[in-house]
Amino acid sequence: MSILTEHELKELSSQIYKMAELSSEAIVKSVDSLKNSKIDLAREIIENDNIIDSLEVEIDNECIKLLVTRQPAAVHLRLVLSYLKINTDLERIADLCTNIAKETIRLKGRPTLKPLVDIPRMAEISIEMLKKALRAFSEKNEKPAEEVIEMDNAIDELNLQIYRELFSYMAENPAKISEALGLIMVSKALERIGDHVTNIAERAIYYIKGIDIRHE
Amino acid sequence: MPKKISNKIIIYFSMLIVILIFFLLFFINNLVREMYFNMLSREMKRDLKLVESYYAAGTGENRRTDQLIAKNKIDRIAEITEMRITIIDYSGIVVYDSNVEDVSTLDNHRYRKEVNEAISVLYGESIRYSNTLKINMLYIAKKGEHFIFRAAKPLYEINNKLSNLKRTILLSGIIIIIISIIIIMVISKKISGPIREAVIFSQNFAMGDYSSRIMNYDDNEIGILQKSLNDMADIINEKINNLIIEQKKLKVTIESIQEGIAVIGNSGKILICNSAFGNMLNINTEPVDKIYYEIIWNSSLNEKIKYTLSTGKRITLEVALSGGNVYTAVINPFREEDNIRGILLVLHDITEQKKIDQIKTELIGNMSHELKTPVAILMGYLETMREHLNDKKMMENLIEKALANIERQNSLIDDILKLNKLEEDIRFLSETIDIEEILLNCIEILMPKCEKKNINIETAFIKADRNIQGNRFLAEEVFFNLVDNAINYNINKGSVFIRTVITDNSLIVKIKDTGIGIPADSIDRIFERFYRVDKSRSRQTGGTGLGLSIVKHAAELLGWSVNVLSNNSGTEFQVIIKIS
Repeated sequence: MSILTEHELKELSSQIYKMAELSSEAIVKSVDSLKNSKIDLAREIIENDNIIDSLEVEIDNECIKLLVTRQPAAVHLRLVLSYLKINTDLERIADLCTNIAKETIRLKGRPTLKPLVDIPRMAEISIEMLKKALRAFSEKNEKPAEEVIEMDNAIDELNLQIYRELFSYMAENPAKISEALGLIMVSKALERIGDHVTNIAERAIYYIKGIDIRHE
Repeated sequence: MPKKISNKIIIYFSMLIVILIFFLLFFINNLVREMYFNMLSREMKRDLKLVESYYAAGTGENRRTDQLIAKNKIDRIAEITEMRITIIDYSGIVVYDSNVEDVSTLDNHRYRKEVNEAISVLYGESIRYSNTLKINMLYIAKKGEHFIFRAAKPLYEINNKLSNLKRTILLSGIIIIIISIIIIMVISKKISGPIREAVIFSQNFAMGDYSSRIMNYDDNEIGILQKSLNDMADIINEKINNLIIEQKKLKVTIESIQEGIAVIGNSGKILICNSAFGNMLNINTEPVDKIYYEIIWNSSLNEKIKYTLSTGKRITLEVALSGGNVYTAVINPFREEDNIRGILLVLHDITEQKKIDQIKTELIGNMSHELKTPVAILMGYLETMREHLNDKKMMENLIEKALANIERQNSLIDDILKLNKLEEDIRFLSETIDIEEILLNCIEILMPKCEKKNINIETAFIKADRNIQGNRFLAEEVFFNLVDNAINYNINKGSVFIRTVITDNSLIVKIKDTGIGIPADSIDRIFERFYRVDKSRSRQTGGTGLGLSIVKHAAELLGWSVNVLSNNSGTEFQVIIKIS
């Protein structure tokens, strides 16, 4: 049995970063496709999802290989376990982006109900959160992770606000229900993305401090 | 606390002196003791000879009296010389002892060491504890004719003398130690003082105090060391200053470059980067010393950086970063003896370039489309005419339509030429123009169009100094096109309001329509050639698609500015004319 080397950890974290970058790009692109009715871009997101899927499998295998062959202990064990879990979260984020892209395709050609402001805002916040959560990992600093958990409240609030607004549109004009429902799905997907990023931040705290703060 | 050289010197020298003194003590003690013993034994031997001669005298005719006299004499000798004198016969029986009256109580002395020696080699000597007198004594025995003569002297005397001597030597030894320690301390201070000064100086230098120097050095090896330390400090100081200047130069150079620049080491860490780099990537943390993929959140760019770091191949690619801007990224490896030491990443903003390219492509597409359409229509009419040469009524109708299209083509070409002329920035004659008159003229020309669409034109001109420096032709182009647009893009039975307003230093002409307005995201683009907000409306409203382009260029040449305010109930164009 040999010891987990710094090189192997670095390689693993670069893979995780790649996964996070692909996911964040998926968020940007999916919201861009929805906002500017870019159907081609939406199709591209759905196609590119399998790149993220195969990267997820690759990272999972890599983590399991390290766990079996290196048998890491203490902080290294927590890091590998955290990566194993956030890998799934990142993949789910990308999946939610394909859901947004599918909504874009479904809403094709219809004039948008109103200029989209809150949905791009949600996307921006979630990307900022994702960056912060990963920064917590690389800097071994729990502060950004705690900020992420705070920021998730802003996303939840925006989601509720969008719900209320779209309900009023639906009540005014039944012809717009389909479109409003599509936007509600998008908003819900972004809210779920925020939750997944919060999970990542909680994993970061688990890795740094060794305590589990989930469901508190 | 580090060990001090002076302490070491003091300890070693003190040890040396102590050892020396003890050796001295030992030698002197032994020497004195030996000398004393020799002297003592010589004296005692001499005395024994005397005793022997007296005792021998007592062996003559008057034996008893002589013996008594001899005994008395021997008693006297023993008393004067403070010795114990014993006479023993060869069988070991004591016949006389100066300290013991009744000799019969004494045991046999035959095998006492000194007696034994004396029997065999004439003289015997020993130092023993006397059971009789209970003290250490020196015994000397001499073999006589019939008897053994033995003298004994107590040793406390010599011991007392020797211990006196020891005490004197020890006392003077301690004094010598104290004096020499003081001397050594002074000497070692003298040696270690300058060394300590040099140590403190070099410690301060290492801590970053580059200005202090060692003062007044001695004229010896340590002085040379101090001097060379000073010289070294000067040289290092100069080198550090040069390095700081170099670094500042590099920083200023990198900072002043508009392109985002970052140097990434082969470990993946960002070594140097400028603020443009941070701005382009929208980073709010310090990027230096972080791993590149933690900073550059772009999977395609990071993949290429990784590729270059491992293969050393130069790569140029286009990337869209956060904020929607497009950059050319050049990833250039730098090597040291064939090993890749890192990469230089340069980001060049090509967003504007991309936009211009897109506009150009659109322009060419639009222009060819606009030029081709009337020709195609004309061709269609002409072909129909060829087939219906005899149908006079239809011919007339077709010729009318064909002429209208030719007219359209003509005006389009006129506009293109006009725009071209304006873009070439030809100096126009400056003359006094009357804005009100020009506006009224434009309205008059466009009146038939208004009547066709039932549009009402309302004017409100302010009475003011209306003579303005400009060029009539250009001003006409500006106002004609604006009023024309206000009519073309108006609803049927709509209105056009034309007003002039005077502010502190400018005259503002406001031309407002009651049309459908311009969407906010199109406002920036309406001055582009052939740009149409609604592509499907292009031919319905007439116009060449160049009108606002002409307005923009003409206004620029006149030094005027044109603002657009629009909502869904109409659009207002404001021409701001500076009055000097």
